[in-house]
Amino acid sequence: MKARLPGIALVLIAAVYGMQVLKIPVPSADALEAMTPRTLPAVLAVALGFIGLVMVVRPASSETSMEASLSGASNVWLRAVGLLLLGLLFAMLIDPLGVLFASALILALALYLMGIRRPVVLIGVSLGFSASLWLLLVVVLGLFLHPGDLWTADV
Amino acid sequence: MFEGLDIGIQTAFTPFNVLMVMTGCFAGTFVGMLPGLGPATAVALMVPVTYSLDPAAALILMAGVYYGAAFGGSTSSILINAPGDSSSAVTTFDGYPLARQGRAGKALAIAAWASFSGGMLSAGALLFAAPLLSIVALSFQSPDYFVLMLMGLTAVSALSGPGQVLRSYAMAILGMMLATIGTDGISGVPRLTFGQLELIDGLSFLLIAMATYALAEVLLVVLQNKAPPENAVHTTHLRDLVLERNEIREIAPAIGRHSLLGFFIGVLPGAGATLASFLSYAVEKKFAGAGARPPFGHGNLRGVAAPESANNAASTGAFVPLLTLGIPGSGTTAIMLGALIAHGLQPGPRLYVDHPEVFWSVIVSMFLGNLMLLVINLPMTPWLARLLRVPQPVLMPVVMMFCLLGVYLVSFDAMDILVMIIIAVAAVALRWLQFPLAPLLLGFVLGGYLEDNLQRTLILYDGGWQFLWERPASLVMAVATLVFVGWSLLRRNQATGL
Repeated sequence: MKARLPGIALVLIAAVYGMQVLKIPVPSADALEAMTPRTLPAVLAVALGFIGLVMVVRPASSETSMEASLSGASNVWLRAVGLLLLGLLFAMLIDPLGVLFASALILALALYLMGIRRPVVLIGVSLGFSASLWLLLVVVLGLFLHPGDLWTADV
Repeated sequence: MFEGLDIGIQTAFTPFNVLMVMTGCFAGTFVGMLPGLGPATAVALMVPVTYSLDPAAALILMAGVYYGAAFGGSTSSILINAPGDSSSAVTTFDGYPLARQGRAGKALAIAAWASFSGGMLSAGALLFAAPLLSIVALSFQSPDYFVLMLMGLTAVSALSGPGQVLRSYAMAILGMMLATIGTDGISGVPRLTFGQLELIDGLSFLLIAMATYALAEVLLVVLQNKAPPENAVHTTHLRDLVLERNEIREIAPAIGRHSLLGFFIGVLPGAGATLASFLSYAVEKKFAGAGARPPFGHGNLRGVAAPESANNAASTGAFVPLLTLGIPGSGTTAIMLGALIAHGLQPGPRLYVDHPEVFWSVIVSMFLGNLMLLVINLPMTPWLARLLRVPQPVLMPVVMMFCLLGVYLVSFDAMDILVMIIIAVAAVALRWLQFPLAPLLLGFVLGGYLEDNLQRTLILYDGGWQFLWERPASLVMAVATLVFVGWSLLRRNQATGL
């Protein structure tokens, strides 16, 4: 079953994409043309579905999963998920806090998540990163970085 | 050609562009050294920076990063037995044993000289091959471009590793599917936008490249959680970086052989530096025979020189299809192609005519870059190697921040960060299922052009497909495409035992 998983994934992608392709409007003037806005997407959906089916029916024996190379430790997965969540938090905080402050904060949290506990490293790396960013973007490249809605909003 | 060369020298040797070569080489070496992060990641991280540069400087910077990363990858292979990317994996076979014997400096010096020679020889070959191929390609019209792009995509998939053929085709198709999102070029109809105005212009190339090649790599490094190898050799001294005459005599023929081999493999779309380094190691091992002292795998100098010259030569060779045909031969050159398109340039034969300063300056800059790698980066290796002491728990969050900021600072739209995270998660899942990501990027970059050219061709030929046999160039490339597909499927059938 595991060997067939990639093929099943492809068939599912092709099916979902194919259904969306059917919703692409075709202008009446183009309806009789050899190629409409729907033609290539439809061909791609069929081709991907076909490849997926072949991989389901005849999975190549040399195709191996990457599972072995990934760590099974739960804390590793938690760290990866944590980094992604911090990325989402960064997206939410970047406008209210501004690029430099949000970067320093999220980097410090990410370092903590990765197991760094020494305050000098946490603060040094995150502030050093933001300071380098300011130097490069504002001083060298002359870009305007919005300081953040929170600091500039009228009270 | 000499006129073009003159333009190239004038452009490449402006103080700013020399600075770009230096920056590119240094940044590439820096990122390439980090285990798990290779040239593609290094170039992807650099793309947002190039948006503030002119096209020539942008391509010079990215090219410097590309071969700088190839150079840097060998350092971590030799010192800590952890290759920066797959193309420098072979260097661990003899490089790391040399380091364990206390000859790390020697191995690094050989890698540097081999990379330099491979890079210089192939830059020379590029100088002659690229203009010739461009002149031929100038006669191409829409039908030929359509078949050429089809050939490029199938070649990349056909030349993929064992057990990866169908996966590569699937990824190329998936990349083309992503490229269909947005407004249709001919009819102006919005496709697959789900009513979202942000998707009318399609997905951003930068976002896809950063998500699949940079952020996904960070997540994979975290998920793989590899402990630093024991007995890692972190220190070396400048005096160890000097080669003796007998050592030079031993490695010189191997460097010559594998620079040529690497260049020709690099020119093939999809073959790339990894195949070049593995193949050259195997060839050199056969060439040396059973009497090689020390045996290959136990610190043989030729075992370091052969793959290092081949992978750098292949990196340069990959610029031939990129510059002359607009067909990227690897994930890294696909990122460069996408960045150039974002600059309003279409790499291909017209680049040679319309933007000779870009075409020639990047070639000229390669000579300069390879020289800088040898003269500046090699003596700095003992200090750069200290970077390898920085623990991954510190490095990975920093690289992640570069990714997030790289996307945000181009659009200033926080929504792009969310989309990038979603694509990075999908990329990790695809990698987990052993799908290669380079064909996806290639499909994404070439998909739109392939469709545009097919639409124009079908209008020109009144909906007919006779161009496939009426136009000689199309016919030749269509036959080559069929050969690639047939051969790759045959290989897969042999692999499955059918």
